[in-house]
Amino acid sequence: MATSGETWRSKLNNAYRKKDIESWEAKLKSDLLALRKQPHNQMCFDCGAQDTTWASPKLGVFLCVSCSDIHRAAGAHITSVKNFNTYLWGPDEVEVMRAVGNLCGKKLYGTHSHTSTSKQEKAPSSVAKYDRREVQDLVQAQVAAATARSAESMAGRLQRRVVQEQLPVPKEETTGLDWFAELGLAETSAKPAACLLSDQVQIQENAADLDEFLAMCNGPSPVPTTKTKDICRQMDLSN
Amino acid sequence: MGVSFSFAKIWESLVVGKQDRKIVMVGLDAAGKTTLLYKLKLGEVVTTIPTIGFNVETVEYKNIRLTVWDIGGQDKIRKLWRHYYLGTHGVMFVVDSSDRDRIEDAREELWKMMKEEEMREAVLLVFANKQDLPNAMAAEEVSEKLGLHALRNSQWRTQSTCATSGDGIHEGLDWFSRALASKR
Repeated sequence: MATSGETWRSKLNNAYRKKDIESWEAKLKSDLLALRKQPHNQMCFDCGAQDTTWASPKLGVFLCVSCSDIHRAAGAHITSVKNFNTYLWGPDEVEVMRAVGNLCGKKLYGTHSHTSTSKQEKAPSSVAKYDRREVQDLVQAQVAAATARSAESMAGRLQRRVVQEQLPVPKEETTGLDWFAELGLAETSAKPAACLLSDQVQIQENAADLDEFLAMCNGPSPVPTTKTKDICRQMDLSN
Repeated sequence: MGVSFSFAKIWESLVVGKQDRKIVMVGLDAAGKTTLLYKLKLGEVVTTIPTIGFNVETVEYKNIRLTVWDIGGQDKIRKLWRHYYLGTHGVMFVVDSSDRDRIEDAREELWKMMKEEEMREAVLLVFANKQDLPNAMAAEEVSEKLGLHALRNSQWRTQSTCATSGDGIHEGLDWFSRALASKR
């Protein structure tokens, strides 16, 4: 295989040109770093340790190194993990991390703490937590949403060309810079139904809505707005 | 008696003594390489951390002493594998048999490696690992998806394994040690 046409596959099974992924690396890593700095993303989602050097881009949660080992044992059909140094990240994966994170993850997957230190005892509890039908349906919705968001972008167009046509992309389109500009301007209304979940992104970016969202995550909001109700319904969180 | 004993020892070291073989163990991230290595070495399932860099252990099996270099498979560090190839007699290539989405990536990495000059004649043992997980590919399917039948210069075999239970490891090592012993 020629190096110039090398493809790179994310853990969400989307293919990109490796060259593009490498050229976006600095920007994507800085986005991830900003997400990791949020208070709830500074403690391991599974055990609460003050280490989030790993993450599951499929589940969208930040993890410590020892819990990442448990996720590796659970099976790639349930979860798979990456760190922020020795892996490249795809825009689709960064989108899932942005849309979920450890705060929303609690609502999606439930809280959980390991009572054992043995890997063989911890692994089944992680499997039980994440390998439930409703959780995996949610994960699929998340993945579809993130993929759709990145597919609207420049990256998506490049990706489709690489995958479907296996044709070289014209030189002027090879830069990732325009894609980020486009991502910022992405129209939310044009998204397919599965994308509703990623509306959390818009909420978290808006300070007023963020309070409402946090209240929702911490317990039933006294007067939920239509928007939060929709999200709750979509995420199957409402009582 | 003493004379015959020492003669036997010399005979053993010359003819049937342990042969040293250098083995590289590679594969995509989370295939189970480190778990396999320590299951081989200690017979135990150890808590591992994702390998950034390498682990190296010597493992004695029958008349052969394997120095196994377990090299991290995370995507940005795969390009470092080639620095370990010099003087390699055999490769253990570990595959997560349940990860159908990435078997094509595994095939690419395997072929990239086997095309390297130092690796052309290396004996190849593929561990079709994680057989305990649902929907795992059987050894024959793994061989086919990796395109092993087209490998011309190497002796190869695919062994299905479950590193955590140890199933299949010894069958794989039996074949591997025989194939390695027949090479000089």
